[in-house]
Amino acid sequence: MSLLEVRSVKKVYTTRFGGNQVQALSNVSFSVEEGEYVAIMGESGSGKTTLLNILASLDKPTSGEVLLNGKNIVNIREKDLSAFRREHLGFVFQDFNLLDTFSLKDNIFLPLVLSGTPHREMEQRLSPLAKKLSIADILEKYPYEVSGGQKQRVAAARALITNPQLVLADEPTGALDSKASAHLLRLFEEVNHDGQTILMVTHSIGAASHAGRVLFIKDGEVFHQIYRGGMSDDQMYQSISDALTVITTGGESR
Amino acid sequence: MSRLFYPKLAAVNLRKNARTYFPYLLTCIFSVAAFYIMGSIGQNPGLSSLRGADTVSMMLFFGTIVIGIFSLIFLFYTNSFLIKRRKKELGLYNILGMEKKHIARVLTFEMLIVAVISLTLGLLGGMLLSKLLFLLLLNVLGIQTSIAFMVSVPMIVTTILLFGGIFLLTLLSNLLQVKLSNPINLLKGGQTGEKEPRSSIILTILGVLSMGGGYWIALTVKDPVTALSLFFLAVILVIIGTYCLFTSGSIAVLKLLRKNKRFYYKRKNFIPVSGMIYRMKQNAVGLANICILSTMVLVTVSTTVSLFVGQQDILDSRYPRDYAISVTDSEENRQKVDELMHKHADDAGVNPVGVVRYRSFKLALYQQENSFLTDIPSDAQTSSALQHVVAVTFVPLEDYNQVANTSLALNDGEAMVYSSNLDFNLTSMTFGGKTVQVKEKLTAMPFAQFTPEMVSDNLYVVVKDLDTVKSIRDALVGKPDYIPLFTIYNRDVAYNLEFDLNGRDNAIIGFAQSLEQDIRTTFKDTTRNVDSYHLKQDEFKSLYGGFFFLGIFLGLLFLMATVLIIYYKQISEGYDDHDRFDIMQKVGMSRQEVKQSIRRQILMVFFLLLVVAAIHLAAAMPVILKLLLMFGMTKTWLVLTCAGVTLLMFVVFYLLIYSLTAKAYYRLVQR
Repeated sequence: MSLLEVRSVKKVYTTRFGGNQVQALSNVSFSVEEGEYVAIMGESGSGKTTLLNILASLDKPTSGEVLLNGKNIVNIREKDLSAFRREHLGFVFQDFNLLDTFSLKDNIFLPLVLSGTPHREMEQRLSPLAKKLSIADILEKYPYEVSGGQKQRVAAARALITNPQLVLADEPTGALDSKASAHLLRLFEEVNHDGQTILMVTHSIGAASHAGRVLFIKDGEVFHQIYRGGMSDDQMYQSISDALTVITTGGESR
Repeated sequence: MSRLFYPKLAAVNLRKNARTYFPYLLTCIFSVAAFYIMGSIGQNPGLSSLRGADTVSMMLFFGTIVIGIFSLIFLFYTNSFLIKRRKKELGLYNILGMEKKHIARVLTFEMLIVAVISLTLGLLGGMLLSKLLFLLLLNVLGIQTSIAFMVSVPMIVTTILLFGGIFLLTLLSNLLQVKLSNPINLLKGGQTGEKEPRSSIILTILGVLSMGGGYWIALTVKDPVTALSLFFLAVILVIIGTYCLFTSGSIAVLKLLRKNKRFYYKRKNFIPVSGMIYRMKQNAVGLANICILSTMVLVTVSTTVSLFVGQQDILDSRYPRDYAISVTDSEENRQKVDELMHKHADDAGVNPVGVVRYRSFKLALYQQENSFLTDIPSDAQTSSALQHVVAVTFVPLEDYNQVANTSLALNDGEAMVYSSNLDFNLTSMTFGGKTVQVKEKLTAMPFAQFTPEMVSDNLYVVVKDLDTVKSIRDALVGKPDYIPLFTIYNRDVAYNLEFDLNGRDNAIIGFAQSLEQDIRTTFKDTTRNVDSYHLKQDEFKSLYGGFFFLGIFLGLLFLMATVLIIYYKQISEGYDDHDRFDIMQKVGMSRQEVKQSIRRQILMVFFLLLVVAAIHLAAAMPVILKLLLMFGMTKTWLVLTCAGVTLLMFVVFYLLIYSLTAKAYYRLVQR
């Protein structure tokens, strides 16, 4: 059984007064195996973010199913949703979403505190993670005192500290310079290598070329996918780039 | 570019920022109106024709100045809030290609619009309301006259000058801020100073000390005279303490909580504690302002209300008889006073009843244990000297027996004593070398007690006969270098005539005035004293009615300021919390949880204020009671009831305002 199964998900937005209907996702199906590192690519407006929001249970599909470990997350009741998100999913956002009111350490602890984890266990979980993400010496600082790359690594630590079944990353390198991006992507690879399943939405070819598989979305459907197989990062980069050229020039091949 | 471009842009800006500018405009209008009303009532010619007009117009003048100063500070403060919110917008203009001088032009036009609207509406409203409020004032003073509607031109000019000045000053400070900042700063203006607050130990200690000092003064003050001199100091100390403790103390406490890992990393404490640290830093000064303003409302209103409600009691206790005359004692004077009384009574058609006649010698003395001195000793502390001053009245036994309808007897060197101080326990007393033994403590005195306001204790000493009174007089004031502590008393033995009056109110007033006039001229060469309950009643009405009017008026003004600060606080918190609200939901809190946690924090902040204001009021009560004692207000329960009712009404009003503004807040957070 796959870790994540998306079955014929459709999402239609209706404007507030009923008038126009916008179809963001028409028919999306794919699955992610445990331990995979999947990137989802597509142009602006292709439905990437809508898909991620549905996977994150922040939004509900108009029709279709999303199974995480065989459980349909579409049917989870509203009041159990936040606990579900906290325990099974980890998030990394483009704009970090760290709270200025907390020190970096407390930002990382936030989901654990919400789940009622004892303080001693929090510290035990944090120390290897902080070392791995090389943020151990800035933990007492505040978000406004550190660089973007450091913020994003802290956000990654917050996503990983709950040992989630799936990490969802939304353009994680979008706000970072190339050096910080490279560092973060390398860390993602390492984390994935240790067995963490990652699903990343991006339109950076560089970011996607680190993934084990790349899905292309166009007009609300999965249009194409590339498996890494034995390819190096550079070869991967080349074939993603080729695929994108085909997609944007309007080729119909599948 | 059209010439109307800038005015138009300014108008559009104001309309777009209506959520914050509308309350500001309302405040301006209200302040202008309040200033004009207070000033124009004071200058109303109708007022000067009334009895006690001097007292009332002095008070109104004082009130006008208070409103002026308050408006200056408050409008300036509110504006700083507005301009901070708008920095991003101004920065955007700058980046889009407007030069700073163009922005300055827009700001100038905006201020011009605000000034014109608030002065026009404020003055119009003021003119309409001043008539109403003047009638209200007359009603409070218990005077019924018809006074024509009038517009005070000098007051209009003063108002325009004052508020024009305030607006100009605000504009200049805004322009300076724009001039001093670059576009990036302007763009980020709303977010500057997000750093975690530092709590200073020194400030916290200073806060604790001054708050403690203020409370200590308030709670330990023994007598009205000291209360008066220390009240101001206590108020200043408590204000300093409140500011320090809100800004520094609160954060120190919260950080201490955060240090306790077991406590801090608990689901129910984690977000409130850190959120409060952040909130207190941004809002501490504003919150301290609200707290102090609320306390001011509570103290002003409850004091003036209790004086107003209790004025009849004060009058009754201070003037037990309707009329009292006191002149230098002689056979001739006695006859003259009696004649005058009967003559004026017949003329006015009133009937003197329960007439009491007695002789006495009265003066103020400094009490040192059991000896009474005519001077304050040079080693006495000046601040507390007045608490030892006692008003002493010597009465011959013969007169006492006659008035009290008793037949008591005394030997040489013996005395019967009545003291208004219940702790009085002397067994012998020395007056200028003459010692008397206290034979008996009396529980009541049949004479009216006229006590000067500064002296708290009244002592009556009944001695064997008039000769004894005279010998004590000679021993005390016979020296040529004698300077009295208070000049209002007779230097000689006085003849007192006290009586009640029957008749129509107008007739009694007429009688009281004409008799007083006559006695003043007849006895112009000797000391004489006239007190009329009915004349005092009018004086009291204008004094306490004036206080009451002023108290309510200023109370309302402070209340308006409180409301506005609360509203602005809610709005700015709403903008700030919106993003955090979002992030917390993404990280795994449900909508409900976030909402609950925010509500709890806001409730904590705003109700902390209410509690502190109530504690301040409670701590101020002993001082207020002492001060009111000077006005002759002895009914503690009445004052406490007034304070309680005021507090209750304030709490209800506060809750109302809170819930209304909280709605604006939630709308912002959930947008």
